[in-house]
Amino acid sequence: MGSTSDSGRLMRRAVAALLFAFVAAIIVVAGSTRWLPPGRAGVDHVVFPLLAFPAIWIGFALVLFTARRPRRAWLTVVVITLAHGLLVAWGFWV
Amino acid sequence: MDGPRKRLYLLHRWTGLLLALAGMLVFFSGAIATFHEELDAWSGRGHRFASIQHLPGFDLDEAYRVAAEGLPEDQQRRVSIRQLPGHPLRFTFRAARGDEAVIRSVDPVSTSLVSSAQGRLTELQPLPKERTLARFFLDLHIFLLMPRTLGLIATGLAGFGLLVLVCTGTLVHLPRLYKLFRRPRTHKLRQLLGDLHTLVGSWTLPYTLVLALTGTFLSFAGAVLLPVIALVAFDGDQDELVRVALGTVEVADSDDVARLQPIVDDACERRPGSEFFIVNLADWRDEGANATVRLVEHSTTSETAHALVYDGHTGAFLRAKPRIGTTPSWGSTALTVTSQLHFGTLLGVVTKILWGICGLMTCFIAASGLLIYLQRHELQRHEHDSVATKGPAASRLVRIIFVALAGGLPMATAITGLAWAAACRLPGADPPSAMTVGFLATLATAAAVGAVTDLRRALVVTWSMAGFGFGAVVLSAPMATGVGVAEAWSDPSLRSTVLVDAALLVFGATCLWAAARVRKGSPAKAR
Repeated sequence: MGSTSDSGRLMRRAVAALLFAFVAAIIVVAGSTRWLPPGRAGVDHVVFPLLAFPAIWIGFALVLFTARRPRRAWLTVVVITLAHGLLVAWGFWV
Repeated sequence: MDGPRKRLYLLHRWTGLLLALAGMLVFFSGAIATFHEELDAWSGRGHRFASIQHLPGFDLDEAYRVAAEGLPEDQQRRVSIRQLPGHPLRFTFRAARGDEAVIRSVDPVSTSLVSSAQGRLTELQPLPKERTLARFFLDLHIFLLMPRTLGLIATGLAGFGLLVLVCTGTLVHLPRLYKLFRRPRTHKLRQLLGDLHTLVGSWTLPYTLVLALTGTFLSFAGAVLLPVIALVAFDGDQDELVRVALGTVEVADSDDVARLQPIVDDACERRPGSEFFIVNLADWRDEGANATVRLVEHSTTSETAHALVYDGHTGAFLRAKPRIGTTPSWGSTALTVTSQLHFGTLLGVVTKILWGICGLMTCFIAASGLLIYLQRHELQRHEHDSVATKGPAASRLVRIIFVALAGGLPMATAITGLAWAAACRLPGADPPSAMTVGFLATLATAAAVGAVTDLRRALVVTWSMAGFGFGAVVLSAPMATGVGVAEAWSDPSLRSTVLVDAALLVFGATCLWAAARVRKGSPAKAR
């Protein structure tokens, strides 16, 4: 019984980590277009966040799911996401 | 035990079970889609249209006139003129905005209209019946036979699932150099499967990591990320994003319209040894008219794409164009390398063959993972008399999925080939629908076989059917294409036909050999 409830708890944590990491990765990709240099052709700030999206998603998800100190991991990811979210919002406001 | 390694192991197992169905469909069809050009040449052997590049006296402007006949000038603002190897010359006419298109095909030799279709660009599939086979496997790989956006998200999730499996598998098994050369233990089936799973997974790790990263990017970029980027960086204007990506072309205003044939001739001269691929006309007969000629340079160890931009009024050469933007950039280079890595064209034929083999290896890893799960469940049931573990329903479901994938996929591939051949021959039949029905019905049949018989018998039945099916596909192709096996094999221009026929026969023989081995029984003990 204990093993089944442990598995259920871990599965919920895994789903929460994967879903939050997905949303966070999209916000980070969108926010990165604000601070990355556009390069000579004016496309680098769009291309590199897009290419990095899968790595950001899996990175966040694994950190959130496997961290020995989950609170610290969630706080770190939330701060990074909020910072990029603010960059996105600032761009709309300016 | 609730440490990170245990959690990674659980995540690996859950993802593997969840991903099994969609993931293996994507990996298997991806391995086939790597050779879609060869498959297209094989299935289209009966209609070999000459390349316009090698036709003396061919006039592209005359072909354009025939294709555009009766179309208003507004419908000719964006035009793409494309010729795939062996295909007729295809003109796609679009207005300055919108998704409505008219697609017309012209025979390059007689300069006569072959076909004409009108509708939404995303829904138009003006392919001759014979050439729908390669398209089917591409659609299966990119969209899983679903509607466009839903399909992209599904394949993106499959790609991300593979990424989870690669990362968790790597962190759980911690690959070491000695593990790459460790001989699998053959004493017990469970050990043999586990060792092979780890060994093949370790050897194909760079491939699976690259394919998972690039596949997730390619699927999600189009379905989810580009609209978000357009919203944030381009105030929601996706057209502006496309303009920046394509690069704007500065052209002096004029009423003149450039001739197309001299533009293509000039492009071929500037990139000798390259094959003509496509001409894109933008703002045609309008301010800023320009033409971009795309060519591909093939060699054994590389495949290089070139794009040359011309003034649409004077026909003067303007510049070579990078993949995106107007000038070379790190972003453009990164995108080119990403695309070459995913499609296996980085080192030409060498990487294509390697990618095809590694794609099949990834399927083996997925199938062996399911078998390991089944074996473990059987062992636990045996030891605990089915009390402490999940009931047999879960392992029965996994067994059905395993048979549907390990035995059903090869069988469904062969049946798809036969459905294509039959639909090409039957008047009024639609090959894409016949292939979809044939493919899905075969997977369902294999699943049913897995449900009613034991694993060994189910694999013997499905692999035997697949083995004979692949042989039948080789024999049925002449019926669909009108070109016999001997005739195709003796024609030097149909070299890829020999390769595809040989590959099909090798697949068939491998399936029959595997069925015979399973029927005789494995030397490894069941537990």
